[in-house]
Amino acid sequence: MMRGKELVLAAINRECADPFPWVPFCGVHCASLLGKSAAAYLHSSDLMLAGMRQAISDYDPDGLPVIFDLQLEAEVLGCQLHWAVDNPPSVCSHPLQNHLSGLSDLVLPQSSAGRFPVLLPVIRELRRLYPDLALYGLCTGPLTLALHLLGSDIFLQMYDDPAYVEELLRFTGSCACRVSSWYLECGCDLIAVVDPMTSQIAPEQFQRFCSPILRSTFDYIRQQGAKSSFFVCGHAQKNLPLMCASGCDHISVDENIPLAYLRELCQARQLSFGGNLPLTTGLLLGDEQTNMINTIKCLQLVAGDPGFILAPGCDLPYATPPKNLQVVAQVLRDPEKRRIAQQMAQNPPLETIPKIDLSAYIEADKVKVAVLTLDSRGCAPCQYMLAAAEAAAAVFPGQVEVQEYTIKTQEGIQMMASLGVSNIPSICIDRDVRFVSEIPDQPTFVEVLRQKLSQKRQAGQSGVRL
Amino acid sequence: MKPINLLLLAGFLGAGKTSLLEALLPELTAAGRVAVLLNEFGSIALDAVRLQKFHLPVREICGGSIFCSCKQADLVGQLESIAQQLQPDLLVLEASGMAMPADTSLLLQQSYLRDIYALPQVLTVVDALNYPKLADILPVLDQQVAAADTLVLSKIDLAAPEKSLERLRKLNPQAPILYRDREKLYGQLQFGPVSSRAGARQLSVRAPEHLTVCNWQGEQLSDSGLEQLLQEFRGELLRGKGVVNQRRLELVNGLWDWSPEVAEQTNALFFVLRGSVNRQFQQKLKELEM
Repeated sequence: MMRGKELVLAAINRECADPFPWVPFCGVHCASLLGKSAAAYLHSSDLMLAGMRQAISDYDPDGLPVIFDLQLEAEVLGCQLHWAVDNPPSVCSHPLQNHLSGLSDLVLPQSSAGRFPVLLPVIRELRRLYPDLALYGLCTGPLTLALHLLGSDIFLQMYDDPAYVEELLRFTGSCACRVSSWYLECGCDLIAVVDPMTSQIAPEQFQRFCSPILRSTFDYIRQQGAKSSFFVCGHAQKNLPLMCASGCDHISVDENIPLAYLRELCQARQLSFGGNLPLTTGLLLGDEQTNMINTIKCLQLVAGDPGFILAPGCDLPYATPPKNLQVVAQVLRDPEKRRIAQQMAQNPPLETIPKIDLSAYIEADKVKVAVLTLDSRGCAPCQYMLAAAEAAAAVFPGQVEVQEYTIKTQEGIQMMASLGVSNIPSICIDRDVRFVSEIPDQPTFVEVLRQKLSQKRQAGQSGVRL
Repeated sequence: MKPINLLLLAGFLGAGKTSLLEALLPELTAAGRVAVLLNEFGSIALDAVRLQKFHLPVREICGGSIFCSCKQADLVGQLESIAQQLQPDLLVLEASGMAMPADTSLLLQQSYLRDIYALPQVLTVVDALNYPKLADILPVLDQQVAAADTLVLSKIDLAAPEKSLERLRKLNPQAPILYRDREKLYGQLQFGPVSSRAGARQLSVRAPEHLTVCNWQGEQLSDSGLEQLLQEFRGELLRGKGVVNQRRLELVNGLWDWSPEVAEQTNALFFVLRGSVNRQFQQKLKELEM
């Protein structure tokens, strides 16, 4: 089975088969994996390398961006940055604002400037350590970099002095090409041009100002023998047809864009596409169940398409819980997990399900073991989970009661909601979620039950009800 | 617990959101505890300094607009923290110039915050000087106008309001328009629960002879074809809603959005159109059936 770089490039060439490649856009999220601030992370080659290695270990991706910082070029070109603990930096001064003539003084960035000397060795080392992983080099898109340089006046200039904006974009497009060449020299496989600001302008302006520069940028990347991706987050729907005509090999969008619509457009042009796992409501704020359902919905929408790459579509928030990303990879690659996700997606949302009154569920002298499954008769992990529970219970005859609850039944769904279980298969002991997607070994399980029974005995002697 | 009222102050950069807020705060603070959340786009939150004189809790989200999914995390974090730590009666969210009010409402509805905050009341400040230039370049400006409960047309001492008024009225005939120059605000802002005005905001009312209704029910429509059709008729589409291909359409004044998949199996759409294009629109819609 294809994996890693081979799989990503197959998808870019529209020659991929399910399971699709998985590319979590880990930017400063890698810093959180190390317990470091975004500012410290983005200034240190060692931290970047360690963070990326941690993400590779935790999320088993087919590809990764080496850094997600759209201020790298701007900093070199004279923008001041505001640094944050849990975010990439933001631009807080614009060198061309109130100084339009300064454009003629700007020179293209050098690889020895700014934080590029920190980043480029990281790419080389990642290439050496992970020859089979697809490495994405991310450069700031021409319009976004132009906005950094000129500030929001750029929109008025589009009206008042369009020739100036065209000249500015020629410069920022050249920056993108230059930075791309460094990334490719260091070993990146793909260049992603990240231009979120293009989602904010009207199609007429996109066509006039952005299309020519994007086309020349993507042509340049192609001439270097590399593949290109166009990352745009936000409400880019109106500009999607123009994005598809920009000459890139792949388009990545966030959840603001309906995946079915993107698929239709990309199929017509034989383009690869990716996205669009919900970032805030799903990956950051949701639980494992939410993300299993979101993943399966993406996969169902693109089923059979040879050009899809599963990704969040935008930079992952710093504090994204790792388990939410891990479950995405599980649903993608583990057929059993996928079946569970399919079943969950068919069930009504857990928060809408009437809860069972569990006040009388716990018994004073007996431990209740609830095994929440898809169905132990047809799901291997569920079967082993149930078998583990029954084997451990057999050590305590008459004292432990094992009950399977399958989420194919109304009772099972209600029990899952009432016990607060968000992942299947899981084992609850009395009302506590104790084992999640992990089949406990016999000694561990027996010990857990022994302790629980002991607690009950002590509570019974002291008259306390557990 | 009573939900915290939310006033969303929208408008492009430089439209005068912060100076309007300065003018409003004495009245707002007299009515209850107020907190302010600022989302500056692309710069540090200098506005926070301007608001220091009111001795209010002022929080900031710097460095990006809420339009970007990856920045919504910051908004959620701040909204949660303000509710827990400050517990104001009213939160004023001064959105970045690129923020779509509809996104904020959607985020509130789709997260646990829906139990903590009331739906936002949207006050959009429109810059009479620059809006006529920028509206065709930045679609977000029309989104901000269409979503407004109240519109404030600012800088009327620098540019004739008539250049903006026709477009504002077309996009949002319901919202009252107040005027503002460098000195003062002309007119009285009305604050109240959003639910009392939500109906009015959803459907613009025009003379009946100018409006026609188009209903469609069927199996499936081409996604891209429908998108193109909406683009083609966006000037005539006043209102649209319904479900098709398991996606929910919400269209107001030529601006629309799709919600993610919905459970409804029935594909049905409803449109209100201006002018005499109904037959043409219906015909094209029919041709999209798959």
